[in-house]
Amino acid sequence: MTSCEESALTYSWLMSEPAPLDGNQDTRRVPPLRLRQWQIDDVVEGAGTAVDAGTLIIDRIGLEGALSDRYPAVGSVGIDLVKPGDPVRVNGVLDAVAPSYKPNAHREKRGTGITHRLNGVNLLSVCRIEPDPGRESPDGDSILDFGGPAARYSPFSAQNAVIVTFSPPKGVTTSAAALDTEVRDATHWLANELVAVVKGTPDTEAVYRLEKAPGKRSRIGVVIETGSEGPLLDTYLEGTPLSEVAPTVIDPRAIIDGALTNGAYDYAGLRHPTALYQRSTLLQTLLEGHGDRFDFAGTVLALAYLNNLDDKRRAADRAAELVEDMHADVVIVASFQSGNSHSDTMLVIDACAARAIPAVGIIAETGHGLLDHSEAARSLISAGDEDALVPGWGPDAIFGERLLLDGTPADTARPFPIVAHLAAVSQLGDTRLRAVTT
Amino acid sequence: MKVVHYLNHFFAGRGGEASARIPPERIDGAIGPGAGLGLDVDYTLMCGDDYFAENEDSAIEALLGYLAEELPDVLVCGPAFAAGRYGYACARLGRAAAMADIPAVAGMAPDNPGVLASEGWVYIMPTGSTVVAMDPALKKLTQLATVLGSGEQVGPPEQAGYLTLQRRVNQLVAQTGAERAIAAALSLIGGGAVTEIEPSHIDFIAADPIADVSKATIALVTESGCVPRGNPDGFRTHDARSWHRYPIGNLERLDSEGFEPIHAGYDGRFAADNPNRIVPLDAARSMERQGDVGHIHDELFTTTGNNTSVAMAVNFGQEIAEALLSAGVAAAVFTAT
Repeated sequence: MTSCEESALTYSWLMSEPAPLDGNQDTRRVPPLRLRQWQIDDVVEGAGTAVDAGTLIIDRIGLEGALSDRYPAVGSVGIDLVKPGDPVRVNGVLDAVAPSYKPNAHREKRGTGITHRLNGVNLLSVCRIEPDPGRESPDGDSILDFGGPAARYSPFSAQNAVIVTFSPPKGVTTSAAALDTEVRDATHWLANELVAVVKGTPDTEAVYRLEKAPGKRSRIGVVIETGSEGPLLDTYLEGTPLSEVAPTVIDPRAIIDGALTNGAYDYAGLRHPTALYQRSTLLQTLLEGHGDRFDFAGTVLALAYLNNLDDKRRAADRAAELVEDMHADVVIVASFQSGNSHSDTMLVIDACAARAIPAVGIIAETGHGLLDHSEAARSLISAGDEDALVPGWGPDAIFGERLLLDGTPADTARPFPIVAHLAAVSQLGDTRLRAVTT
Repeated sequence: MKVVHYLNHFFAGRGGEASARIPPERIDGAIGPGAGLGLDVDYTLMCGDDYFAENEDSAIEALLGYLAEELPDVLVCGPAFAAGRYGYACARLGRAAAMADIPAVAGMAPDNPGVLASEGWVYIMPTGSTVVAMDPALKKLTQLATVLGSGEQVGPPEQAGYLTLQRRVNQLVAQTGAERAIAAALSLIGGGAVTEIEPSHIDFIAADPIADVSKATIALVTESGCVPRGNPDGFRTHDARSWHRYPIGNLERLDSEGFEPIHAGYDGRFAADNPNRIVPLDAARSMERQGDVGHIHDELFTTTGNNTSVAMAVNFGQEIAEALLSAGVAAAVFTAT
């Protein structure tokens, strides 16, 4: 099911009920999430879209036409295919989406039932969306190198990619929000279509349950911080901006099943592309270990970049309250972006500490360290230094936007700070990067 | 041993503040303090402090270009003493040179923002705060530059006399951040704290209270990027490289025709509609009329605090504080976003 389709679900279906006072988790009969996955080792162009023995075949012309017809506001559409190691740079990336499809979407809510997914390939959307008058463009170039020194940093460089470049018509008055909605809907429609054609037995099936297992184990909760500052800086829960619903508890399986969509396009390296929510190493590892090494207490979605200290404190307190309600013994707080969000993360850690819940923060550093700190933040995991320069590399080809934001050609071989490379300093814990002191 | 020396516009003898926007230049041999280094300086690089601050990327590119034409064994920068912009330029050029495998040493006062800005890439020799300390500063620079330039092993800070270097570099490791976070979480439950980031040192300084606010001159200072409409001085919406002062002495309040926000860190529409939301001149005037404060200083001090480096912000703070003290200002209302 894609976010663009009419859905009978409201986001309230996605929220876990608070854990009963006896600490039992999820004693309701909730069907598990069965994630059936097909591994894609290659992407090629062909006559009809299909998956055949690990190869994703793309009917490029057919899909380009279908996208333009269904979503006229996105203008002309170009699809390109890239493999890991190709000497290619994609410039102007908005989002990365994992191709997914729910064959029983009409009766299975997100986070439960069967979902089909392609591994080893992501859909990358590219579109230059002008901000509305009076608003600033999201900051920073957004590039993804499939070769060269930066390729080892982004989780998406090691996977095949279907790049969809949208070129909205000039001179047409469409608000940034409306165009962004169309771009996201078009991208998710395509992500759905690529998997809907899959037949046969999946390569793997992961079954995610959250029922209480016998025995007592430590309970680990997660707080995922996100931004929701308006068009081009938003995160969506089933199409609703998070500013309208967070802080809130959410079934982590719903996140893996695509409930969260990224629409926040600042600083590519620190971005949480949709695919990082869908493929979250943190959530999948906790789900896989649930009932064995520990219990996964649950997930809270919290907001960063609130406008004033009072709002920040209130949001942090509410997030900590929700963590306490799920009887977590410890919480992992995944930060979002940088700068004043360091304060948001520290406030959540403080609020949890006030409830005697210790916290681990996953946080990216600037060249000068963190911009805020708390005595309670005794355990911080580094996502890397966002300002570090990656040696320059000149690609053989550019897909997406031809020019960088400063108007210079995107095939430049100059070094970029790592924060320009998509998800390279992700604070959701998916990368193997950290900063060390020398 | 091939030695290159970096100086700012003033120490290169090009003049005072009026010359601060001179772009990078290369001069043969040693000039100014370079002659006192006791080293055979091959050539000197120079850049105006304001030019460097406002065009850091292109200034560094130009200066590195000179260095690449004739690679030195060591780059000596300064001494900058307490001069914040000069120290910042020494640090950033030194950092860029060190990243290009050219050893770099700089001299500056320990509280110069350049120390932070070097990010651990430059050997910083501590000096006094003023030019009175020139001779001992040059001696220190010469000693360490000689060791660096000849390829010898540099001793530990306590022996060689430089400030301790703390550099954070990125490294790929075996485990993902998620795996390390889960392990750290389980360790916390067991009573042990695993951390990969040590706390930052943040100074909290309490100023003395004002004896009588009703007689004091109060200044309005802001990082909201509030500037005259049209942004005459070309403020950046983020990563500010400058601060400015604008006359407000004849104004009862700020209006949207006269002022606008230049800042990408918040939704500026409400501030654009009524700039008093970010610089409360209307409220300040009311207090002035009622005698709650003595006088509102007739200049607004403004910069943009969005992704501005800590080192640069420290620099701005020091310069603004000096300007406020010179103007007899007793306290400032600082609006932050």
